[in-house]
Amino acid sequence: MTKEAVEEVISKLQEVGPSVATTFLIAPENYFEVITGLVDNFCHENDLGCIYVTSSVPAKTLRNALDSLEIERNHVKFVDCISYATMQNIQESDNTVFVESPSLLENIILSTEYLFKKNDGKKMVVIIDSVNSLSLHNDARMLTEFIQVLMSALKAREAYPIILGIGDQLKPDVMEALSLVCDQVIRIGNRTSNSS
Amino acid sequence: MAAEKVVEEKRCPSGIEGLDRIVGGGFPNGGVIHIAGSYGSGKTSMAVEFLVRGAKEGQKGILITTTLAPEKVLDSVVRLDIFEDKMIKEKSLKIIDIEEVLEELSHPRRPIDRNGAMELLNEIEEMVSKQGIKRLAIDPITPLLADMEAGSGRDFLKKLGEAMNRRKVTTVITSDCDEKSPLPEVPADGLIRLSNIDRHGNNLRVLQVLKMAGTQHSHSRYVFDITPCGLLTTPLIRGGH
Repeated sequence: MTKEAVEEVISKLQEVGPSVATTFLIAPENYFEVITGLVDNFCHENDLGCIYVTSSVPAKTLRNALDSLEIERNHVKFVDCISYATMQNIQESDNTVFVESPSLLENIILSTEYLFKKNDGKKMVVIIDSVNSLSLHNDARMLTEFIQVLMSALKAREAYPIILGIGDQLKPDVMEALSLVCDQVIRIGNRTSNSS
Repeated sequence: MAAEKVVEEKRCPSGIEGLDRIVGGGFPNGGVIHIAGSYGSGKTSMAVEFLVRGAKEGQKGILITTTLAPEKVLDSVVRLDIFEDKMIKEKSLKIIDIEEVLEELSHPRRPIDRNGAMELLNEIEEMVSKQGIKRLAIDPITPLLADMEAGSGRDFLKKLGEAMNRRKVTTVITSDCDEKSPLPEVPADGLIRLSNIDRHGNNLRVLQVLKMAGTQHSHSRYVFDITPCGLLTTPLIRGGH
């Protein structure tokens, strides 16, 4: 199932192209493979840079995980919203920007914009991981507005805006927000999808 | 085409992308822009970026510092990617201590009376004229006003604004004021307030343009960040409130 899940995600993205705000709701057992599929296969096949916004796992952990799988990650820049909040050691680096809390939604937008400006004009995939953890720190109305502003900015830059989440664990008001502000919400491994 | 040129001449794009969008393309050309905010709110960074962006476009600028030593000003702000050391070497960006200017006065004593204030104004005007300055910043004005006799400060600022407007020198004046205090009275064409707001115990830096003469500017609050790429802004998220 895992391989199919990754293929399904990539095929959906190839089908719609950039500037389409897409939420993928993934089963927990497929979650990490989908991430590596996006960061590795999708980016390399399409010569894309990647901005990875993490609000659940510190960037350092993700970097280590990608390294252990020998996935080349020079094209990946991180916006780490969780290391400060969980009192991790902060190691300044060129490819990571830290935001002090997942509740500082505007700073997430600004950090993403900053990484775009530092980028050499390459097309980008922007992965928001995850809507579940952002919803723990923000109410649904704030989250809706955040997603709307961020998605509009990313679409204008012709990026691939992607939100990841675990569907079964999302509150109904967050699901409603995603349907409202994303162009498509796709359940991976499940035939049901909402597109607008 | 001609109409576009007139509009361009009326505005002085600060070059700070996120700010120019909010103020309708730039500051009033030759106008005085007052940036008010508490300590550490980003006033010096904004003033420095205004000058560096100008220098990059060939507009000479001077920053008159009243609190920091000139050599510490650039170290106190985030280093901009577009900054080049040659801007300082070639004097397209100059940073001077207010004391250097005050020493030139015939009676450099404090408190500065009305005559002293007018003499100071002449010194600044002469410096600006001799060096072909197009952008001026005084950061912050507050200690200088505190050193002036009652009434002299306001006269000084009014005459400074008139003099710089004649010479089409766009001027940024910063002032210290905490969130709850009334804003210092600075006669200006533009007023930008920088403040901090708390969200769940975390701080967001916010700017709001309260006045910008001659333009339909946004009055909303924007969250900003100071980065090596310059000041970036995004609308404050209210969540429907």
